[in-house]
Amino acid sequence: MNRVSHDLTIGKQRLVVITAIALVVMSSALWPTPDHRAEANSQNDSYQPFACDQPGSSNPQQRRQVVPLKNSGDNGTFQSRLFGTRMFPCLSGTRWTLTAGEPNGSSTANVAADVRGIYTNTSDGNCDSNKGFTYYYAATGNMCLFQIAFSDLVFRSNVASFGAPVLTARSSTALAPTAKVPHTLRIAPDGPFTVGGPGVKTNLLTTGDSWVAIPWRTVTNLAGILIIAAGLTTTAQKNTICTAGWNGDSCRMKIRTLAGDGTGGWNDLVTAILSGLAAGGDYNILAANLEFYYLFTHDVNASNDPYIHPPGGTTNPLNSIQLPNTTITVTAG
Amino acid sequence: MSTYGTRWRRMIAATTVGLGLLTGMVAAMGSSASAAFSPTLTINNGGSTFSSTNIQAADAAFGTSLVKTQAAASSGGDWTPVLRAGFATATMNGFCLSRVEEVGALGSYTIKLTAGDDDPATNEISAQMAVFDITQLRAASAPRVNLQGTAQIGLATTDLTTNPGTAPYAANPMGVPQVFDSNWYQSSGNGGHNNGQGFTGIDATVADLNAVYGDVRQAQIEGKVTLPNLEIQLLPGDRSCKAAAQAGTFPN
Repeated sequence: MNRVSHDLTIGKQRLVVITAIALVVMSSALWPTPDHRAEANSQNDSYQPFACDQPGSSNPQQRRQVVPLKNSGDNGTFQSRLFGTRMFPCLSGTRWTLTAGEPNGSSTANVAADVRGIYTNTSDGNCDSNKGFTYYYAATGNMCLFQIAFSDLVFRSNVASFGAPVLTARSSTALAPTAKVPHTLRIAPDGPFTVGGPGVKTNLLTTGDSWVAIPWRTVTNLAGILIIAAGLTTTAQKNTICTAGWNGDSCRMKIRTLAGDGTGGWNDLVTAILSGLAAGGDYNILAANLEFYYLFTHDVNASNDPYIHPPGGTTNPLNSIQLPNTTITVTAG
Repeated sequence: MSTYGTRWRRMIAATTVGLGLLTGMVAAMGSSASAAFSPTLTINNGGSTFSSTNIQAADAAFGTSLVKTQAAASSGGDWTPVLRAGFATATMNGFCLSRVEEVGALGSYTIKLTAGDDDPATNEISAQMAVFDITQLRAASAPRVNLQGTAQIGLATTDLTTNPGTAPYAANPMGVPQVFDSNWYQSSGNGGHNNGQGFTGIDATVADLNAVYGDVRQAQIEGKVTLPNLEIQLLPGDRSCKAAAQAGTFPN
């Protein structure tokens, strides 16, 4: 029987085989997967195939906007508008309205909702006391909007008894060009709904005149010694803080005020109080009238690109918005 | 004195009407009302109602849109606003689609399409690239309308996506024109590139709708659809899916 001769010893042959296997394993680990998308979050990687364009511009997404994510830590920082993890929406320009509770109520017993971990993004502002930021719509127009973020907003189970939450979007609220047939989208849960929750951050771009009503005791508890030291009258305090009005101990505060606008006569005091309110505050919402143009949720870890890594992952994503017993209608007008 | 036996005139009339309605529905299922889609299955018969125990939709989008009503289409047509719901893939636990017709002296008849396996634990129906044009929708039980993952509200309908995670990415799957179209927009802006301004919607990684029913103007399924135990019935009276759902009965 002929035997093939080898120049290598058995030991060297084993070494060659082991080395070859090791190289295959290493190369497979290092070789880029063809379908794997870059983790870096950018407009080009936002996977929005629709061209939100501006004729004459070489950028086919020129009217697509940039909205930074809220950072995960218990602080007021947001991702960088220039380099951070961001959303890139093409905004419809239609104003959405969220109402809940008794808008002119005075009772602090009728709590509509509880909000946790609320912050406002006042970095890089370019309008409305440099606390807001200018956002452009899909075709024409723009508006100065405020970005607020929170961990969760949970409506109380009895909210329907004094003002169930309603979401409304009227096409006519957009600047021209608008829809040929004006229409209204209405989302009306019978009762409480939840936005956000564990592992989820929620962001809103709202108008400065949007407001939330909170118990006045929330302000005084937070302000404490500051108000006493300033010697302000209760009415003066309320007029300064409750910029959308107040009734009894229900204080309606505009979002631009929450963002630290400080338009009252005691800016330092107001700013001190409001920085507390808008710095991760957890408090009761008695009523709300939020006019917003964009809402989005993202993973609590802000380094996760929302277009690739939704909260909880793609297989079993976390609950972001839960609407109980909800009626959704679209009607002309 | 009572009479017995077959009432042939009435039976012939009812049969004729029934076959006519059935023929109309089958024809409607095969027709296309929108040039924006290339449907493999289209149901376009105006005022229909639907119901399902559960709809689990991946890459879900809901955006306002316009649709030309079929009755008026031949005469130039009126455009009606709808909520266009689009899903890359969807599974359903039972499905019911119905339309009630008034037939003169014979009263109302219901054409009803149902599918499902009668197992409340399974989502046995599946569809790919499904679109429903809805004017009213209600999700009536826990866990209700549940938007999961990355949810967005306020995007232009043109910017909604139904398959962002899978190439090739469909641009503007909801079909609202990007450029000025006098049927869709009141005016032109941005050099004619209106980009869906005034049409707004919701985008979510997953939408979970429970005990859901409502009014649908048309439905289109571009991809593969599986409808086990499909039945088409002609029933006397108002036996709509919506009425049954409002009474607490859902297909599963």
